Formats: sequence, structure tokens, C-alpha cells
Amino acid sequence: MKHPSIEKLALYGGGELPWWTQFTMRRHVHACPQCQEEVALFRETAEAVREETAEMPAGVQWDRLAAEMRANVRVGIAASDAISSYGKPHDIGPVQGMSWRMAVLTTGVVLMLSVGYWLNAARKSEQIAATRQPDPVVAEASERGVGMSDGSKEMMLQGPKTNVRAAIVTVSTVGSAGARYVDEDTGQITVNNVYVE
Amino acid sequence: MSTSSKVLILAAASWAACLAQEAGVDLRGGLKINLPKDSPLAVASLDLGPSKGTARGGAVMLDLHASLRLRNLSGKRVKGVTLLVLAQDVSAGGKGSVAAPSLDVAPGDDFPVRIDLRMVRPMSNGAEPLVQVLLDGVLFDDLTFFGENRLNSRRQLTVWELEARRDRKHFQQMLEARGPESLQKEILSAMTRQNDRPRVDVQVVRRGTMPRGANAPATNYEMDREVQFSFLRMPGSPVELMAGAAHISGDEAKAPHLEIRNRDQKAIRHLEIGLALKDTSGQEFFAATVPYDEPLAGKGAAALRDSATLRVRHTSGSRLILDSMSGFVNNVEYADGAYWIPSRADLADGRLGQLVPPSPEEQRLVQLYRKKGLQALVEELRK
Repeated sequence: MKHPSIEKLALYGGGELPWWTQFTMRRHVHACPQCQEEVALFRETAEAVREETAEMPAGVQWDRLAAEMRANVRVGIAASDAISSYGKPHDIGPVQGMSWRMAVLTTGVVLMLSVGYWLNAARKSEQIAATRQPDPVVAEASERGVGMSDGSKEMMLQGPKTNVRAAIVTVSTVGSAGARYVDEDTGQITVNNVYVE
Repeated sequence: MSTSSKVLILAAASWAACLAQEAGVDLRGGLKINLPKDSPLAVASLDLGPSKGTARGGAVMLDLHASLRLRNLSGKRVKGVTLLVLAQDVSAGGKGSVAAPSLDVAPGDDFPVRIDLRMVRPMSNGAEPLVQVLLDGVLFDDLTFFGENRLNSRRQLTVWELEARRDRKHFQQMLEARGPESLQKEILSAMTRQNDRPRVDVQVVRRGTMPRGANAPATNYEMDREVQFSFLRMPGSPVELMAGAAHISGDEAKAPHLEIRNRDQKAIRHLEIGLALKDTSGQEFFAATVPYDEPLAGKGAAALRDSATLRVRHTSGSRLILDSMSGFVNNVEYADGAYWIPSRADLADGRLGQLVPPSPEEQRLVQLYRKKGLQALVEELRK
């Protein structure tokens, strides 16, 4: 015969097990003298402890302490079960089958919701694409030259090799950028501009 | 096929792809110079020097260094030229120009124009040239003009030529009245002004939001505030700036608007306002121009609104914080074709003298003095 664990017997003796476990344990204990002896021992010990508590100092919250201890014992039992069942195949209970009507109904509802979501999402993405502004074209004038870029394409007019550093740079609010260079050898002036349309 | 064979094939394919990405592009036919049949200029020579094109995936990166020599076929002296540089498929139909102001090219003589272009564009089918160069305009010594004028080159070349005449006359008068020492003092003063100009990089977006800068702060808590313009008045200006403001936020100035009044009886076709910005450290610099292209009647007033956004930063890339703005009238074109530019007396004011850019001719004369000395400058002014 397989006996319950000693912790379960202790909880049974104190009436601390869930009602179904308590019921099945009672059937076993009534039929098993060895376990009856264990349970009787636990109950005597518990009675002795209760008598001892009368001599304990007042002010201690015994009810709260007892609840915490019970909870700790339950956690210990659960952990013990988990460890002992590790690596063993689980018992899989019978699967409750769904009726074919319910399955058809559920599939229909899911399909309808999916199509509705897809249509709405497609329209929203079209609206977002329509409202999204293209990247603005930036015209820039710097010592290195004048250029324009829209993030993917770019064009830059640089200074002559004789003097690559622009003497004067400026932009116009109509969307142009200019840089002026002085040739160090000849003094000839070159003015480069880019224009954004 | 074994796994090791597949790995070998994949590695070989990757290597070949890398080689193809770096493949050179044939530049023959990549640059086309289109001058009109009746052009007063002709191409004397074209040297592509160290130009190169490199294919990178589906794009081509072009590094063009063209040394072009143009010949004056007309019977008049050429004072300025603007070439239009067209690169198809680049940046929303964008275009560039290369201008050579302050020239004095006699009939039959050649002069150089350099085109140094760097560009990334989608790979073309090879049928069209990568870059086209067209003649936008030529200005002659009698202020007549030849060209399509798609870039308003006529106005810009004329303004540069009038500024050149003003500054040559100023230095010539200095030389004749007070001698070479005074001329030297004046040219050294001009050199100091040019060297002391703060160096900044400027970006402009015509419409929309300026893309976030690489050195922008992580948070965007900089307050957008409206700043009123202060105006730098020139006694001789035919246009008065009445009021104006722009929104300033960090290193950006947005949406300037100005109220202007024509003080002259003559109608105005075009005017250009210069914008100077001051940062929180007190440094002030010329950054942008705001054109006004509507007809402005004699004694009439108008409001100018612009949607552009400007961003300014130090040439080192470090960020600056804008504090205030100033405006001044840069040039005016009347409806009858006459022009107004600031006189040397208008520019004698210290602050204006620092902010208004020097003319190309003043830059050329300063460089001549720097390279060849006072005697060469005196000979140049006595031509």
C-alpha cells in the first residue's frame, strides 16, 4: 500500500487539507493502522503545543503566526510534489471536444473579424501614405561648397582646386545656396549656386 | 550540392558584387556643353582632368573637375558669365550654376571657368549625358546682355558689375587723390574686413520642416519665439524697411515677414533684402537674402511673407543659438531697368561695412595685392 507523505498526514491531523484531499485521506487513514498511529501522534503533539501556548507571553499574534506557518507548509508540499514529478510524463486528462456547430461558428466570427481588420488597416495605411510629406530638399552653403539633398540624391558644386575654401556663403529664401571663391593665383572669382525648384 | 560548395559559391558571388559596386563609369559623353548657335562665346578647350565616375549599386557617384576655356567671339569686352549646370534626376529637378563675375575679357581672348561638381544620381541607360552645361548669360561692358536668363543672371551680373565699377572708382580716387600709401591703407582695411568675417554654414528649406540636424539636442524644448527685426538704414536707399519679424528657435530662423515702402517716385521691379543674424555670444553675420519680386509702385508699400526656414551653424559644425535678426536693403532694380546699389558712403558705417559682403571686384583687387603687391594693384587700377 502506498502511504501519504508525513506532511500530508500532519495537515490531515490538524484538518488543514482541502476538503477533497481531506476526504480521500480519511478513507486511507481509516483503512491503514500505521497512518492512524501517525495521525494520533500529530494530534497529541498539537494538543501539547496548545497547552504550552498558554504559558507564552501575551501580545504575540498567534493567529497570524499560525496562518503563516500553514502557508509555509503548503508551499513546501507543493514544491515537494513539483520536484518529485520532474521528468515524469504528465497525466493528460481527457480533452473536452468542441461541437462542430461551435467550431464552425467560431471560425466564421474569427474570419469576419480578420477581414474587417485587414480592410481597415489597408485603408489606414493608404491614408498615412497620402498624408506623409516627401522629404524636403535642403540647399546648403558651406565652406566646402554648395549642395542640395533630399536624403537619397545629392548634388554639390565644390570650389576650385586652387582654393577649395569659400570666402563667402549665403542662401536665398527662394531656395538657393551660393558660395564665392577667389583663385589664389589669378584672383579670378567663381560663384557657385544651387537652386531648389 | 554540399554545404561547403554552397558557401564557396556565395562567397564568390559577394566578392563579385563588391567589385561591381566599385566599377568605374565611362565619363565620355557624360558632360555635354551646349552653347547656342549665335553664342558670343565658344569652347576653346575642355579638360576633364582627374574627373571620375563610380557605380555604387543602382546609383552613380560622379566627381567632375572640368577645366573649361571659353573664347570671346563678340566685338565687346565680356564682364561676366553664368553657366547653367543641369544634372537630370537629381534632387527634385534641382540645378546649379557657375558664374564668373569681375571679368574683363577683350574680343578674341580666352578665359577659364572651372566646374567642380560632385553628385550622386540613379544609374541612367547611357543615352543621356550625366551633366549638361548651358550658357545662361553673358554681360558686356556696355551692360548689354546675351542669354536665356533662366536664372536671372542678367540682374545678378549687372549688380556685380555696378559694384565693381563703384569699388574700382573708389580705389582709383583714393590713388589719385592721396597716393599709393593711402591706397595701400585702404586695401589693407578691406583685407582685414574680409578676413574678420565670421564663417558659418547656412541651410535653407523652401517649404516644410528642416530635417533634424546631426548635432541637434536630444530634446526639442527650445522655445519658438517671434523676434522683431532691427533695421540697418542706408541714407541713400530708395526702399525703407518699416517693420518685420521672424520666428527663432535654437539655430533656426523661420518664416520672415517684412513691411517695405518705396521712397522713390519710380516703380520697382525687384529688390533684395539682406538678413544678418546674431547669436547669443554676440557674433553677427550675414546669412541670407530675401528677394521681393512683385511690382512695387512709386511711393507704394507692400508686405513680404516667406515660408522658408534657415539653419546656421559654425563651420566647425558646432551648434550656435540665434538671438536676434537685422535687415538691410541689398539692391533694387527699377521697372525702367535702372539699378540701385549701396554707395561706399552707405557702407562706411562700421556695422554695415562688416555685414554687407564685399563685391567680387574688391575681393579680386585684395587678392591681386596679396599675391603681387602694391605696384601690381596700382597698374591694375590705372588700366
